[in-house]
Amino acid sequence: METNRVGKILGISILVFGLLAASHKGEFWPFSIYPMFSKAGNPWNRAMVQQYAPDDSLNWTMLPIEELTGKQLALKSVSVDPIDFANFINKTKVWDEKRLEALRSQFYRVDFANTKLVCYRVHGEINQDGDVVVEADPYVILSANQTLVNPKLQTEQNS
Amino acid sequence: MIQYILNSLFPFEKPYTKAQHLYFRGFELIITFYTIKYTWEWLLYSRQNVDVVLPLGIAHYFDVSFFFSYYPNVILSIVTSIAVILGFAKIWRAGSYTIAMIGLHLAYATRFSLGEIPHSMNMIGMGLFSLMLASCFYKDDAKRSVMAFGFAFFYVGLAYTSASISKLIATGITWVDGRHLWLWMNEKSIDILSREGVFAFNILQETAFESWGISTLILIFGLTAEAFGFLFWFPKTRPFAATLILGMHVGILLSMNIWFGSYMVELIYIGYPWVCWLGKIGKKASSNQTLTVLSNPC
Repeated sequence: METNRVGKILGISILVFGLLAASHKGEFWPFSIYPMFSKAGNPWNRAMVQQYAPDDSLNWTMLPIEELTGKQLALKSVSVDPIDFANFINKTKVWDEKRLEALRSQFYRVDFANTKLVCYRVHGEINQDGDVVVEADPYVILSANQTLVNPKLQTEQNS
Repeated sequence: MIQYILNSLFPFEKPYTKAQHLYFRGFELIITFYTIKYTWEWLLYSRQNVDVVLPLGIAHYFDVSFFFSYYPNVILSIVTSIAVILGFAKIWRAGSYTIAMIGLHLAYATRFSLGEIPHSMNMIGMGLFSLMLASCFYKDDAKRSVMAFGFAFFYVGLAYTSASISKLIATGITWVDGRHLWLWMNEKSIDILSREGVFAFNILQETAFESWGISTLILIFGLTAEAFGFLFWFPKTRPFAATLILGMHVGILLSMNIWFGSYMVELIYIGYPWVCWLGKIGKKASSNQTLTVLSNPC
């Protein structure tokens, strides 16, 4: 008797779960579908930041990660969550002033008098030989008095 | 079959002993603790958010950036914490747990409005949801306990089995190809490098990189453990399913540095028949009268 009653409540909760998850792209916390790691083998994008001396000359060349010459900035040390940061870098479509300001504000603890930061998008994929290749693409350079965006991003958003 | 599953999930006919009551209160305490912990952690962090990049859940209808500012942020933290404590203290339980559930959902949507969608705290959310529903439908602790645990068992099993089905639908059986693990290990290594400033692969990761076979075996184990998640619905197979899932989470921690802390705590707590085991110990240790009285031999 009680079991059947609770069974009906469970059935309704499954229905609500399904409706909420289906109408909210699988996420109405704590109702979630669990698609993480479902699509295996897909290329991924993350992000990281390296520090350079203020007078270092930098360019916008994409490099294998092991060839980067900057000093790795531990995002934890400046209270920035790496996953949030990666999402910020990868999900930003238009690098307008507001977006750049939001990016810069995340590094308010950094002393730009002694350093400049390069924010990289890091891309990983399996190449044709079956090896994993990881490359870093410089997106934004933050220095004491400048915020520079990789010209190719501006070209992409204009096209 | 459905009746068998329901009888396994909701054994209302079983006697409700003092030991089971304590065990249920322990479950409520774990949920209460993590609700308070997460509410404060999430909302404190979200004070530095400036923009909603990805609206989640209720954030589709309500601008959660309202909670980025100090007073709404602190008030939500306090209200949610008080509500869950009142629920635990058996004061207006249905209402208290419902308010706590809404508060925790709002806190989650506020914190994770920047694009990250973590699932490591979902079982705490489902635990609170189970307590809320059980408190809405029953005042009696015995029935509340059966309903809350039954819901928690069901959604743990559903989560894992559905995750394995997702993998088979999205990728197919080639999901277990060891090179996929290489790709994910590299991905997580960038997250750690980005967070800590340094990163070095451990022995298991090095071994997996060196051997496609070992890497593939790790993924086969992970997929199998998830697929058997539904065994969590049945009392006899629950410890087996819990052990498989816990093993998988340890594997995920070692290979991809992803830690499901509260998930593990909840799984260890509800995945094993602690009351039953304590009962057996109590019977053997006949001199320990407290254990004998409290326990419920199975």
